[in-house]
Amino acid sequence: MIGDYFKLSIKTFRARKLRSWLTMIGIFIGIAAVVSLVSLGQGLQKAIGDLFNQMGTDKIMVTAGSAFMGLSVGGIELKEGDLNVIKKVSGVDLAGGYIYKFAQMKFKDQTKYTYVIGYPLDESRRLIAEVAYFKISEGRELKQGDKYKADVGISLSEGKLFSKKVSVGDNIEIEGRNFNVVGGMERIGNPQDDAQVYIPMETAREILNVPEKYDMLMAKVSDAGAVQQVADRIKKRLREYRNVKEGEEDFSVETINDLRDTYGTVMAIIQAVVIGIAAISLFVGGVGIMNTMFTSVLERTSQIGVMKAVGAANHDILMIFLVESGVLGLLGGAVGIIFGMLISKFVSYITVLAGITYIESYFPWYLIVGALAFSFIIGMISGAVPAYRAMKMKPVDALRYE
Amino acid sequence: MAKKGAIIELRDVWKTYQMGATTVQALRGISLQIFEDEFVAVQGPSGSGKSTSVNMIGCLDLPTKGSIFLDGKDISKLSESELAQIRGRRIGFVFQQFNLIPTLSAIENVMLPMTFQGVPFEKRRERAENLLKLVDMDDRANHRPSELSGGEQQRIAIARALVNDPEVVLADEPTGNLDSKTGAMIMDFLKKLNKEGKTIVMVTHDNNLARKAERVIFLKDGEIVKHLS
Repeated sequence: MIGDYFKLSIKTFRARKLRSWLTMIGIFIGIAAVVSLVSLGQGLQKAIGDLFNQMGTDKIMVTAGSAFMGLSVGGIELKEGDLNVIKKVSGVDLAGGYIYKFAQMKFKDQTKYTYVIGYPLDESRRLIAEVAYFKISEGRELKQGDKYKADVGISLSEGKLFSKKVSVGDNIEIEGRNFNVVGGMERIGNPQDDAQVYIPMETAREILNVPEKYDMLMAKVSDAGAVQQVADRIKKRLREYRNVKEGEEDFSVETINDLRDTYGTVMAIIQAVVIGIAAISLFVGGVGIMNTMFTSVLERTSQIGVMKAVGAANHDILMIFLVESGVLGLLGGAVGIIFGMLISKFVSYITVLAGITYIESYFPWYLIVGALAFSFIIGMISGAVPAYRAMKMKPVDALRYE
Repeated sequence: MAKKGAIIELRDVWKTYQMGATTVQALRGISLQIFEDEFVAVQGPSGSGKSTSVNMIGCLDLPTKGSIFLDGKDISKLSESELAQIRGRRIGFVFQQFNLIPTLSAIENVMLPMTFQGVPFEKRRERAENLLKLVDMDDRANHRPSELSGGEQQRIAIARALVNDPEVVLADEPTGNLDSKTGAMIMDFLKKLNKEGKTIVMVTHDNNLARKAERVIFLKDGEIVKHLS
């Protein structure tokens, strides 16, 4: 029986192609928006989740000012003294820091500006490499005793920052000083990070004129399960050292879990905004379907009369119109899914071209099935009132209608 | 109780419509019986209540006052869905405007009443094909109504009316939209059905057509004014 209702609705759809397509636009846009953004969001979330797992949950980051997603803001600075305080906190296994500064760079008569990372050469180097995702792919890492040596980001190795590729053994000039390139880094995934150049901390302090400041301090705890307690202790000791009251801290202590939560919140807000916009579109689409169904019921009044005369019960009429509006929603949803997938693939393709590799579209089966079911249900809900009106028509009145 | 052999009986049936501020008395205490295997014509000028009375006979409408009996059982208090079941199984309708569903092909139109009775697809198709043969329309089975002439559409409508093997066929001005030659052919077909055992009730304002019926009921101003056998 339900199959017959579907057949009837497809026949009506075919007879009113243009109107049906126009009706579906709202649903189509809404579903396309939901599918493309949810798939990109899922891809991004998956990538960030993997990244955090790689960083490990036993790390703590300390930045100056109020922290926002690991970046320090404001004019307050962290110095060597702060690092020493952190090193002494019980439960801290290892601590270190690094600096970064925008600097002038010259390679084969071409001048560019990019970030230079001042990188410690002691044992804390491992810790920083892990958290900041610094991995060597060719040549060697910087080591104790290096002074005017540099590792370069993949943008330089691939010849994207400068027109020529920077290879191991080449010389580059940073702020007027000559550096010998000893290694190339793996891809991090965004254009800014991939264009960084890494030099020894002491050299960086000297040539970049940053005598004391650290842009980011990091600590690794000996017991990952106690990371929050250690973070609280670091906070307490730094308050004492910097002489600030609780709640008025001019620094921020975050664990990887905090970062994960912050990213999670930001992602949730972005998705909520997107879903809000999609919901408006779906609502408008639903109103469109309702309008079309009201028109359809009115136009087919005498048909409803005929169907009732030849034995259609009220529930038959109700189901015919409900399925018809559901099919309108479903077809709109199906087209929306296809477009959403194309948009999502296109966006991830464009971002790869721009050097960002971690925005990958991801289409779990439940997104597709859910979107189809959802669009069918929206169609049915929108058609409910018109279908009820059709059902309630008296056969004799419906037959007389012209 | 209805008389033996009466399939449908209208007993003191009144029907009042509210049209804006005015109340229209469409039927004023009509009593009539339709017997098995009869061919009855209902005649009268426009506004006489002939269509309203046929709607009552066909369980399409219920009286404001009075009772309708089907096989001796009062159906005036049944729900719309129960009446739909009765219409679907026991009564076939033929309309002046043919009233085929324009989006469906001829055979699909014939199959439609069986859909509402839950008949399986294969059986529906087989029965519809047989009926299309009966009305000599089997070669036009896959045409849409818009591709068929008036006479062809009415033959499809008759096939549709017969598809659930009803006891009564109600025809409301069945030849009203047809030329006289096609109209005569449709009339002959209805006569043939009657001979084969179907009860036919036909509304018409055409004296010549009415004469072909066994019995004629004349209505005027919502009342029966004459009975001719």
